[in-house]
Amino acid sequence: MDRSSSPTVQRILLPIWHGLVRLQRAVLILASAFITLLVFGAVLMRYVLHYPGMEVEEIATLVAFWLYFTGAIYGTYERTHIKTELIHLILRRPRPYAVAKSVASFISLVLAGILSYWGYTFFLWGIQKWARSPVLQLPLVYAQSSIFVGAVFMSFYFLVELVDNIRQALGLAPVTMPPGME
Amino acid sequence: MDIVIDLGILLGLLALGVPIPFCFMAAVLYLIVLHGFSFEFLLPISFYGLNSLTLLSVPFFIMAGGLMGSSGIAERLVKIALAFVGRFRGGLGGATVVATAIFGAIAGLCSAAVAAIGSIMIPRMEAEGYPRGHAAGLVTVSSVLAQLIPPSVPMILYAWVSRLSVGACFLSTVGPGILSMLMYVIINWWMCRQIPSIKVYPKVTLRQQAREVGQALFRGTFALMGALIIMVGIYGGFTTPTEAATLAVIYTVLVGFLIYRSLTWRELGRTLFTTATTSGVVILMLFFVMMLSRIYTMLNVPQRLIKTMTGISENYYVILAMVNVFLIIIGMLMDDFSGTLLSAPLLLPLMKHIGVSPYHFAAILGTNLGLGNVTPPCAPILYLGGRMANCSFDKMIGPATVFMLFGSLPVILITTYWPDLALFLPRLIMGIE
Repeated sequence: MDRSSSPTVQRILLPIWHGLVRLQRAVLILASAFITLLVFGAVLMRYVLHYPGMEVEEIATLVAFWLYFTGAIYGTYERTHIKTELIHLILRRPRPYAVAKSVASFISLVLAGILSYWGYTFFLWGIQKWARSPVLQLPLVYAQSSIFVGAVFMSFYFLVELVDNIRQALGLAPVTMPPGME
Repeated sequence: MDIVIDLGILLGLLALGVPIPFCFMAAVLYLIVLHGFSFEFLLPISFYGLNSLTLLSVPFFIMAGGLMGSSGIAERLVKIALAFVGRFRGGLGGATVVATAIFGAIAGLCSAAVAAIGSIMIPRMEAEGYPRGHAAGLVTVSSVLAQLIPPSVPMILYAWVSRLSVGACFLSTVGPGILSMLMYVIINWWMCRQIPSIKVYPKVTLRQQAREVGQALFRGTFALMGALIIMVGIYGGFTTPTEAATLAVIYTVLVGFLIYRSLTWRELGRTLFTTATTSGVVILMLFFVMMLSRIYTMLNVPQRLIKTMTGISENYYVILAMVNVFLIIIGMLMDDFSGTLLSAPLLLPLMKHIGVSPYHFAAILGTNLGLGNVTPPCAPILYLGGRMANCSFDKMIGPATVFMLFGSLPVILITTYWPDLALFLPRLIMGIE
């Protein structure tokens, strides 16, 4: 979001943007803590109660999907996905470099869009088949849906990144957040 | 030709700066379009692949590494290392190397080692007369030890992709890890002889030294216990690697809050979501690599590679040399996670074909791609170390290159051509053939 955006846009969109980021952080913290305690509980159950605890493992792996894909979304928001990027060695001036970054963001956006479609199809397939986990009979679609949700939000953040890079390629100011909203 | 174009797409997008998971996806997409594979067939393969408890050890070991810095454990490990080697010329540098290796026995990522050990040792080395470039170069190159000394996240990925024992893969890099540690300490000592600005502490009697070591060990007991829990848990047969990693996280949090009192709730929350993000980014890559490796298998790519390589030479040593060159180039072009995930399904069949044990190959892969983390142009750990030390690339690349050429490279060659270095421990402890 640009500092020059209208106050109405800032009033409506910024809380949504900020709320989304907070939600992701909450999911990541809670899922991490939950899975850790769950697996720790399984170890205790096995040694103290002599109980195999297969159910715990099932729940942990299902929740892990949300941890993985929310982590991937947050990485896209933070722009901390692992990248190699050698183009800066050739394009040293800011404008051509921003053009190359725009191309990279565009390709990422298209690919994330295709992944969203794949994820959606897989989600529908999951609802149709309604496959369940072996022990607790939990519907696997709870985990399968994380791919679709993850891909949609990654597409959104790649779109923001693309807009930012295009602005820089055009010589405009980069997308920034108002103070306190970063 | 189709595979050459596919790899070209992968490398081209990497160079352009597209996030690596999506570079793998583009490579998958190209082959899907070209050969008419269905994503409806490939997506469930990745989904059921990720639905694994073993894979959960990845976020846990990343979490444990992240928490070690903020819980005060890394600081105690540094003090132990200092007590052992701190009084020799270049002792602070040597202590950095040893501390990184001990740190590696709990954490499984070199980025965690650079962050935790580097933030303590780089300013300290600089204050004691080390040139900043030397300090930054030493920390970054020796951070690879965090991945060679088990646990190791790249080894979990390799074991998982290749359907091998995680415990045995961990053990295969211990020998190369210890050898690397010794090499870096010796090279650092030799380099420090040429730097007059480095302070040297007055010599103490053996009794005083023993007292200092004893005190550091006593104060760092809880820090060392973390490593012990993981090792005894996994190799004593009490826990799976995932459970051991969970215990490491719980233990680190408890020590940070109750014993060393360095950890705060805010810091815990920040570390949890930062490390969860890293895990998400790594696992997304795995998601696409699974599809790619399945397509490569269906297209007989590993067999075609075997034919091509053995067509150049049938000689065991020459093929190993070619594999090393390939891995060094891969290491220069991508990070070690991506390199491991790409190379393992491609090269493991070739390795088996010429009689190399998959666990020996684990060590070859680990040492090569560990070096790849610090070899430009794609050198994420080198850049991270430079950022932490606030040191320009040109100042640190010289010392780092000395450590790489005279430390890392000989270890790669010894690991490659002396299988026992990698296989001794897996044979001894796990009974691997």
